[in-house]
Amino acid sequence: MGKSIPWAAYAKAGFAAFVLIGAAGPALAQAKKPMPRPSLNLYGTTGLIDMPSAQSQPDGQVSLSVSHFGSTTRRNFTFQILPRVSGTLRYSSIENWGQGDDPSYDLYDRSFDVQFHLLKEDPEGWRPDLALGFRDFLGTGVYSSEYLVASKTVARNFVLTGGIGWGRLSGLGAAPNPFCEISDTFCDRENDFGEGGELSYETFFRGEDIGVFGGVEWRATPKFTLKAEYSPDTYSREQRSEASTFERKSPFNFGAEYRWFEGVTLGAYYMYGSEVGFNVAVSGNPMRPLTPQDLGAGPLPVNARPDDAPTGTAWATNPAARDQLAVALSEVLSAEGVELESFASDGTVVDVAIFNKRFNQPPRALGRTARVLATGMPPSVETFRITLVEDGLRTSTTTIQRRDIEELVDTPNAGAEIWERVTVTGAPLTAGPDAWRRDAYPEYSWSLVPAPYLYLLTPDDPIRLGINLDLGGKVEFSRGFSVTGKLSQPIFNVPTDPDPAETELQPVRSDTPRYFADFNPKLSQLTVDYLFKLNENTYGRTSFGQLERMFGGISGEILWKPADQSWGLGADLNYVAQRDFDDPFGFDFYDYQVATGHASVYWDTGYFGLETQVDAGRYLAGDWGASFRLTRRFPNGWAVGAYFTLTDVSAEDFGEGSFDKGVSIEIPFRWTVPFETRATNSLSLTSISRDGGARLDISNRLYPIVRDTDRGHLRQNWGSFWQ
Amino acid sequence: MKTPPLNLPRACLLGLLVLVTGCSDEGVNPVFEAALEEVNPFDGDGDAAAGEAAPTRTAPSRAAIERADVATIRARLVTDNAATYLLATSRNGPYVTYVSALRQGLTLAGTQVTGTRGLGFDLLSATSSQPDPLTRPIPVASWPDGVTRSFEFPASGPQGRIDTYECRFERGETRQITILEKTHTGIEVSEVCTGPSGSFENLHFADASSGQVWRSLQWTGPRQGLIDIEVVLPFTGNTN
Repeated sequence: MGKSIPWAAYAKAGFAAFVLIGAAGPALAQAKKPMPRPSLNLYGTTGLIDMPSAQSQPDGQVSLSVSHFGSTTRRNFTFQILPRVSGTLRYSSIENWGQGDDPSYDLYDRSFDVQFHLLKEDPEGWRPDLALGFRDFLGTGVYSSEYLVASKTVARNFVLTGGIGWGRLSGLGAAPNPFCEISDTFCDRENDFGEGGELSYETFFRGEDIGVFGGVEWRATPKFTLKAEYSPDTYSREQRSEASTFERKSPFNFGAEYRWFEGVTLGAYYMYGSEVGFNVAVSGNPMRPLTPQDLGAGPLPVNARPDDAPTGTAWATNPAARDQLAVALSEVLSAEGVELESFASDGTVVDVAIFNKRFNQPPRALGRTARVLATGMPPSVETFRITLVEDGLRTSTTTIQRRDIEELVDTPNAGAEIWERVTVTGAPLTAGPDAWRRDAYPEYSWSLVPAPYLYLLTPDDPIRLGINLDLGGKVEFSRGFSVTGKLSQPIFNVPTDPDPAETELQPVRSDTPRYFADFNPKLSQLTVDYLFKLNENTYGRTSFGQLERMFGGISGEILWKPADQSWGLGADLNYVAQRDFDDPFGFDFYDYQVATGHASVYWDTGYFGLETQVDAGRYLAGDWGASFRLTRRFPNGWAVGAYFTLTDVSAEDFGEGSFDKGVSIEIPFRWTVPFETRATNSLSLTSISRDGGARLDISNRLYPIVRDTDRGHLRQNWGSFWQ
Repeated sequence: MKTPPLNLPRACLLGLLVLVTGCSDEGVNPVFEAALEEVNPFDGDGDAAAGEAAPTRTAPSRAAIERADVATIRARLVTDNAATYLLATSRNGPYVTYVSALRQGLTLAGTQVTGTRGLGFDLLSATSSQPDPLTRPIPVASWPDGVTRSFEFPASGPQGRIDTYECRFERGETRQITILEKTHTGIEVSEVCTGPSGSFENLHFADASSGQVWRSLQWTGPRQGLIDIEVVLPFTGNTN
């Protein structure tokens, strides 16, 4: 008996969905238990309690932790940058540090660590993990130290760690520094605890002595870990002030940690013979989403065209028939979360332009569209040219042969196979004079999203994490021409208006807290924007109005970025005035105008998703210089980046940190929710409130708009084409 | 209609989702909307809220399926309570794709699951060494000692991550099972698979002489786990 498949029949049968969260099934039915992720220490790095270990977190792991003991509180952000390289940004406060005549002076300090995993443990043999680390190599030097450490799992769930250290880790000197044999200069080590921010290579591996440290970690149960360690850190500077209440009595620390649930660890410790400490660590991995990522309506099934299907193309010459087809196609695509912007065909080739409203990964929108076309287009159509539209810009065109879809659908390794057969090029400027176009203008859209923000190192408000509720609205009058408004309502941890910041420069960023203060709603953006293309590979933007929370004016930008090239060039020029912090349309308080702009180079290295960006030009405070940014971008939209900016502002005028630097993190909401959404949120862990090296915060810069649809980024996500 | 009881953890989950995602003029997918209805503590009238798109909750009868003459399977992730009926909707060579009313899909080569869509964690594709009694029926007495199975899961780049497992069959007892009012007699065969990242066990129920697999519990990935498939009406011919 041959079973036929009437397309509509299946829709009448069947019933329930596979239930939402239940789809997250168990691991292998009888799988070997993987080793638990190594734990973090009170510095936020992989390690014991106050000491590091040689183990590494899984590639891409991101951890936020807060620890406290004695007079010290540390807030740590750690990222496993590459499988063998990790980095940490730390923001510490030390009570009663003492400075000058003020013994009660509290120190707020930022520091950076990096650790290199030199050797990977051989679980069956003798070879341990071996790592080389640099603590506080770019800060004031409060925690400055270097170490070489080894870790070995000696029995099931029992890890031994031992190492040698310089700097703070040599406080209880165990032996003379062997490098002193090379040169006497290695015996001197000075940390100035000054403005910080400069590479402290002059101190690396220096000092009269080296120290030894070590400890054990026993994972008693999957959730419960016990630790003990010997620390050579004497914490002498912390105890120097007469106001200090911290007393270090012992080099031994003991602790217990409880893995509350995956990603959240709580720790309690007895530290240095006198103090109780705690640690709260939250950790996640871009490659391990919190929720099922493929829950929802699957793609449209595709059957090949019958061999005897009519292949006439007369329909394409009939405008009414073509428009009817385009409208039907538009409705089907809309149900897929894809907006059809234009449609044109000569009978054998179909050109469509689509706006992907739903899918986090552009190839998934391309695949869904290709399936709809393969199912619904007349049999004469052989070629699909699908152009992606982002913010009104036609970015790239992917050309797919229909017979390739029919041949490869549902077969093994189809993602790699079809990638070899498609072409990606820059999109043509327009859809052509005879194309059907969506009659949608003016078009309105809105959003209401929570917007967390963080600012650090403002003199009177050293750290603040707050949440605003952002109401956004946009009216598009034609493709690329729009008015955008954003109203921000503070809702959590709202500061009161502080005094003006003390700064040697125009307070272009140091007065940031004033713009977030009080519960009044803030007009954070009101702009008229026009985005356009000059040719296949060149994009342009002009914006006018309140460009960002602190500045308004006019902005222009141009970007040359061929879709099949890994690098691009851009430039922006802006003339802006500093806005009043208490008047949505005022510019009188600061009476400050500046011309600012940059030339930019963008390069996608293709190595572990690492992307670089260099911007050189004039900054908001009128200073000249360049910014360097390195970002690791994951296929699902996660991005973790670090940057620094060097300008002609002196370290003294800049203030704490000497120059602008920091890290930023973007987390797609898709990673946290079980349905498709393109929304992302970003958090910048940086001294945004310093004035040197400050750049305009334009919400619709061109490169981020076109980046995800070029050939390299489509390739990175191409596995989702058939999903 | 009575008001569903408040499911506090799921209500909290919903609240959290709203908190972190906000809202906009864009919608979400129909499966998620259906799931929301399952857990929505504020919806006192499920029928009204479900609207036209809501799937019927009445299980089809065998007579109705045979009348429709469409190849049908019933499938359930082992973590779910209810099974879903899926109908064959497309075919490409040996690969037949079955789709549910909410357009979640399973692709099968014979009764080997070679792809899942929309169930939570997609299995992009799967292959096996031949002869594989799941892809082509073989009398149970003639089943090979084992097969090699490879699974493709989403990863960075055009090709997914390929995990390969060596599997061994072990024949069990003869027994009877009933699938939607129809009783089958056959042999239970377990299949233990081991690979570099662990092991799992499949379970099959096959007709001794024809080798037709009527029911199969198959692993579909480390996070999605096992799926239980019952063949209600086998695919025996062409589509369309």
